[in-house]
Amino acid sequence: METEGDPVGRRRIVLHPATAVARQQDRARSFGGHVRGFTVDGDDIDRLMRRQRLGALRVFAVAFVPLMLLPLVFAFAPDAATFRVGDLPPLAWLALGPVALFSIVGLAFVHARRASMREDDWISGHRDGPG
Amino acid sequence: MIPTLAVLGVTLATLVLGTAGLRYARTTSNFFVASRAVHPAWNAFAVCGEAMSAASYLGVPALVLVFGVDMLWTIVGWTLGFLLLSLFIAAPVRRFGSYTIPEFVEGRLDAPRLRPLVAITVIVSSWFFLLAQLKGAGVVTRSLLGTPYWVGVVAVGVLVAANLSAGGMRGITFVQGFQFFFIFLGILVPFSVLSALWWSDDDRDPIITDSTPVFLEATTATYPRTVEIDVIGPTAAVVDGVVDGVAVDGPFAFEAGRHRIGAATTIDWPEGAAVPHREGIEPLTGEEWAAPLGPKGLGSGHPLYFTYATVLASMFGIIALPHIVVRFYTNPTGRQARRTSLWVLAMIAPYYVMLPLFSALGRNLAPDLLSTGATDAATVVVPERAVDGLAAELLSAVVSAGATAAFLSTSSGLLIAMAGALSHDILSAGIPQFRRSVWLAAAVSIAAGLFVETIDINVLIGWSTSIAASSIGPLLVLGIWWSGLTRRGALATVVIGGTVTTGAVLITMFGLVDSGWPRAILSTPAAWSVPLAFAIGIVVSLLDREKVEQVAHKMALLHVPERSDAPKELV
Repeated sequence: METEGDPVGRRRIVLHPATAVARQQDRARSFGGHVRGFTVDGDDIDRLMRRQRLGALRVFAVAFVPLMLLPLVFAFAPDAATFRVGDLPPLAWLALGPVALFSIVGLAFVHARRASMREDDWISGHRDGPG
Repeated sequence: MIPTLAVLGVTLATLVLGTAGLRYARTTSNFFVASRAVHPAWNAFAVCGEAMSAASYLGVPALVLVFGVDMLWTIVGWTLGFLLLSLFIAAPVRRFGSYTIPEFVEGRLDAPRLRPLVAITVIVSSWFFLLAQLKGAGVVTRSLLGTPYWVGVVAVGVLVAANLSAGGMRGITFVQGFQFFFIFLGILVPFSVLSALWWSDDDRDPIITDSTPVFLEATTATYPRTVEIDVIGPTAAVVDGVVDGVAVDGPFAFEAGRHRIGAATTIDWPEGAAVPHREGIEPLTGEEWAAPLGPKGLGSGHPLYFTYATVLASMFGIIALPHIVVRFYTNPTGRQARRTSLWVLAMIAPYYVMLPLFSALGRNLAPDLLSTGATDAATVVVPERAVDGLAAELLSAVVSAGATAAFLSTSSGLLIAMAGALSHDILSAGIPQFRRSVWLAAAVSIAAGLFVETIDINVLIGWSTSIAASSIGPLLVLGIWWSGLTRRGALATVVIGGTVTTGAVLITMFGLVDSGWPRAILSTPAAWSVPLAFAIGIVVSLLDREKVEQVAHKMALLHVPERSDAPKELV
């Protein structure tokens, strides 16, 4: 906002005072209620964070829990682990190779979609923010 | 000849591309985070180039070759780790906008004094990881060019440091993306050839045998360093070198029992002889090798515990590895960082799935590795033995180029993480300091790299990931997803988590416990140290009255999405 001492001919950007303050505060990282151009408060952020956390934990549980049961299955039913269909590798090799790994990739895609949707949802509830 | 040219080609291209990066790297931001302007796809290639390291490229086939199916839990754990990255780390870490993990910790907790401590943890865990890469470099160059072990270590260390101090992050992102293609092809091409062999020839199927490995044809084994081997029955072989302290040049009748083979000895084992395993490698029948939770597997007789420990250590190790996490800072927005992490998963899963085939065929094609102990060379040796003539040369060239790219690319990432922590978080920030830090870190690593020849790559990786997993891992997850984390909570997590894990690693390293539960627990600390570190962080933070100020704003910086990512109609 400083005008004096500007080199002659350089363009000055004039902001609405509220916007200028908001930008300054964002840059200084002091909590002024504005982040990335959105007006937010503590509860609001908490809700967003909790929603995202729950979503991520759910996806993680779907991948993690069955995999953690697998060693028990191998321990109590060793025949299942070494069972072979035709020339394919034994079941344990398939389960710990393509089956587990590609399922995890699929889950990650599902999560990314949902996480982006939750973000869009949140943004559409904050259209009134400055900037 | 062709493999040598391939290795030199990849090395030269790396140098040229790295130097080209020099033009772009003029600012600090460019140096550390490539000005946050890297396209998600190219960034994903770079992350893959970094994540597909000597540990997976050489280490996984070696581990599976020796211990069998139980070792697949390592790749399951790593994949889960990349899932965790995508779910919990990538987007918020990018949005917070720090250059390094220590800077993130300082910013999130207003804790300038915590910063150097976290930086030291970053440096130590990256260092163990880098030693593993340098060892890979020494082993591969020796097996390809016949040079002494130290040549590969020094050459790779100097090359990577030169490249990094020239181009910084911008240059290296470009180079790593390019190296990714070599790594992926280095596995994909031999995988296609080997799987065709697997389907066409029943004799190659190692799992149907109920005997321990035998030499299917007369095999010349070269023992690069002095080892003890267990000969199962009387065997007549031809020896050139030293056996049990006596120089031999000609036929030699091995009695059953343990024999000491001198360094650089070659032995011609006859067809049909049982493979004399190196001391410490348990001979497994095909069935034992293919079945999970075998009593002879790793884990000191506690295979179930060992399985869980492996998964947890690999999983948390990935999210805490600084050279991987630092990558997401180079994306333009949080959502793009998440997209990058997705592409990484989609490319790394098929890569992991292909690796065990090298071990399966290696049981028949390269059983001598179980005798020489040079199992880390399995990826390079198996494909060239599967075919003959020019095809073998070409296959070997592809694999070697991939291996070279693998350790060059990962070493660059590790060195940038170490030098970044050293210059940005401990010394004062700036490009000259960064350059000096690169050379300092490289010099220390090269010197140590010369002494790790006898330590398996994955042992080094295990130490590295365990230390990172029980200190930086919980700090990142709690810092991002729990507003209640306090400075004292973070301090307790890093100090206690890091110390107990390092202690356990040292106790195992010096062989202070050698059997039963104590060994099982101490040799795989992450299974208990990671939950312990989380618990300590939470309990201490809850008891701590000194909360972090303006925590809502910090959580907002982590989680509020960028407007530019949203569909137009919403904004």
